[in-house]
Amino acid sequence: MKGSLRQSMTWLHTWSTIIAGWILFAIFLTGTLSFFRIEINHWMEPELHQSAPDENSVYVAYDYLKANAPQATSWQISLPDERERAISLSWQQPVVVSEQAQQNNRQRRGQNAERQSVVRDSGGENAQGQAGNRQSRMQNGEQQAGNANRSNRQNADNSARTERQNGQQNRQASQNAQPQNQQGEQRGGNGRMRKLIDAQTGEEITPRETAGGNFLYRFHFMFYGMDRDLAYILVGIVSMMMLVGIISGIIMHRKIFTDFFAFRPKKKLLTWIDGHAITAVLALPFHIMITFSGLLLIAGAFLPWNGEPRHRGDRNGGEAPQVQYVEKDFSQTPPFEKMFLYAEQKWGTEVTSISISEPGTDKAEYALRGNNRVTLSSGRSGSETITFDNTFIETGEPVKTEPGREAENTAQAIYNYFDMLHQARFADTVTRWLLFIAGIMGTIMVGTGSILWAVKRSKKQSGQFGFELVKGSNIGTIAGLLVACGAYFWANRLIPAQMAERDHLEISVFFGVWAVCIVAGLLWRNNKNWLVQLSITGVLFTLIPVLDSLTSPVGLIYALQTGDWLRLGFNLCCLLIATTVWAAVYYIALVKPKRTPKTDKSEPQSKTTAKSDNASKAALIARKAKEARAAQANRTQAKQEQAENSTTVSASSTATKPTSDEKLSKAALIARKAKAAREAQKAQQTTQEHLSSEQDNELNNAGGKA
Amino acid sequence: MKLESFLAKPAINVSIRTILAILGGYSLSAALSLLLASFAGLDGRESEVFIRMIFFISYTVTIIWTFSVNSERKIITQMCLLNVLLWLAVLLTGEA
Repeated sequence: MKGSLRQSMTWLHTWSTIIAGWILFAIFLTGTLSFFRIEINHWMEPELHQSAPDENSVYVAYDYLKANAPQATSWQISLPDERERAISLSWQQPVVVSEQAQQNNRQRRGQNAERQSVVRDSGGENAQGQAGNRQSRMQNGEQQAGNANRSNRQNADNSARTERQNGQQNRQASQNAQPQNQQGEQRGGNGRMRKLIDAQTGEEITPRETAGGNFLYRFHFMFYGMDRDLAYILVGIVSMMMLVGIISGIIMHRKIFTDFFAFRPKKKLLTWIDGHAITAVLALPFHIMITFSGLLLIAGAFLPWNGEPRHRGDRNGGEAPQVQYVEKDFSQTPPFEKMFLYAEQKWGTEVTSISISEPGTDKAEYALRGNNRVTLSSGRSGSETITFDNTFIETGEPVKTEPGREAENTAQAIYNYFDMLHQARFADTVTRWLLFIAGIMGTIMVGTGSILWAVKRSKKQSGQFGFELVKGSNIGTIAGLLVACGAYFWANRLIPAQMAERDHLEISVFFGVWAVCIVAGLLWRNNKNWLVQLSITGVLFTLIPVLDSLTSPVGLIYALQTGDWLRLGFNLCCLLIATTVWAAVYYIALVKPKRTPKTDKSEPQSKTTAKSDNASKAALIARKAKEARAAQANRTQAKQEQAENSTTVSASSTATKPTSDEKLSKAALIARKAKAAREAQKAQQTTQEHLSSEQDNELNNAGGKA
Repeated sequence: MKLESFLAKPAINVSIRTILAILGGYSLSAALSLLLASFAGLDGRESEVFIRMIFFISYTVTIIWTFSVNSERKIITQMCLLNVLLWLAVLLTGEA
């Protein structure tokens, strides 16, 4: 671009970020909230609030599983820890069949596979829209099939129906089988069951249907209702713009460390500039890390030519394993207490989960894991696992120990570090809060950047379509998103817990409220609208603890008594957000522009902004001039003192000299003083002129930043 | 001379630089990351994550460079030349 490097970077910084500013704000805010995704989930499932961790939680879980899933091939028990209050259980529920039934089933499967291959072949022909359509219909016995697509769907239906029939036959054929647990919540078609139980009583907990914090988490990298790859590409593009914005912002910044300590409130434009600079510089390493690591994580869609496409395994796919009925013996409870003691002494931290394979048999194995991550280079598998078997009672030793894995190579290790940093998987409570605060700074940085753009241009571009669009959208996307988040939490508690598909309704409330705020922002593009939307946010977040207390099965006193800091922390965080929002409301309401004679009623903002700009500029110049005068006065005084000292020295050395010398030195002193005063006056004038021009430049640059 | 004045028009200038930055930068970064992965002798998953990291660093630098050079003619020439050279090198090393 024409001009200096700094000017080019200013232009690039402005335009690379303003275009994606609102999406970036939404990504930053929802991503920052996702640091506390588990806490948000806990708050949004009040049915879990009653559960409190207990030393005997593992026995509670074991008793539940042996009563409800005795024939399962494996059990997974996730125990309460500092971020979980209930016990989470999952197990593989097999279809228990007799030997004869298994043989019959194998034969049927073979036949079915042949039939399916025929169906697939015909489906391929159908896709080409050729004569194979008729052939397909004949083979499938579907005489009324319509076009090729419909035929394909019917083929799929046929396959599914055949499988269902086989499944029914299997179930009918199964003899001596334990009845399947009908109460368990089956999430997958492969027999995987999941259940939450109270950590003290072992009672089943069925939390309300909610998207919870997972919705906010998913929204920040794949939006909602959008194709995953398309969303990744969009997020990748705006993240790239963000990275360019950050780097160009660093280059264009003239005094990066000086400005870090400067915050000039009530100065309109300068306040926004300072707020933007401080939040950007304070958490600069975090901003670079989070943007770059985010890009790395979604790079698959952005760089489709790089590497083999990996498909996520279908977690719900497959069939439940078929096993023969085995007589199990649960008469002896494994010595979990001793196992835990062994592991916790070795790791110095609590056991958080245990996997039991072949439970109730002689081959049973107990694999213990904890928060004992020893390395980050391998991503999530950096923890040691200790496995015991039934011989532990006699030997007192584990049967095997698997150390935490290391990355296979340096590139993979660096990638994993970024992955772990971005998702804060390693973080304890304090680190998580620090990351959260840094994320909030990033959100403020993006928000103030967008506002700064509008404030700077309010004088010159007021009334223009682009300017008004940005100004209005700022209100709806920044304040509106906060309102939407508050409304989402309220919807979670106010929509009846038993309502079908209530999670979709919660999300609809979120988007509905946000849309209303955006429209309102575009219609009323003034400070009053900021005040209204921020006030609504303030009310929503301030009253969240009250709402929580009224709509949870147990009150906040119970949470205090049982140390439910997940819930209390969420409420405190909401109060913190409310305080910040109320401070913003107070600021907007307090710093009212002075009334000016209205010549054009449609543009009161631009006039007041211009006046405020001029006032702040004049105040700054006056302050700097005053400082320069003080500095000059100090220098003059120092010179005088020096002169007086020299005079005193000469006077003392010539104390015996006649009075005429004294008169002479006094006259010289007066002459020097007069000269110094003239020089000071001249310097002051020069400094004032220089400062005026420098300030103009600064303001121009600051304007250029926006 | 006519070309210079045409390129200097603000709308044309910004459009050309944006296209150069987005497309030229993407192509340049892709070639550079492939080439570096090839020189480093990486393959499989290691090569994949290495390319990801180099690509995004290179893309950021290229975009900034595209907007920092004053002369439009210079940046167009340099971008095209670098792209040709790097992709030739990639083809010669058999990475593409």
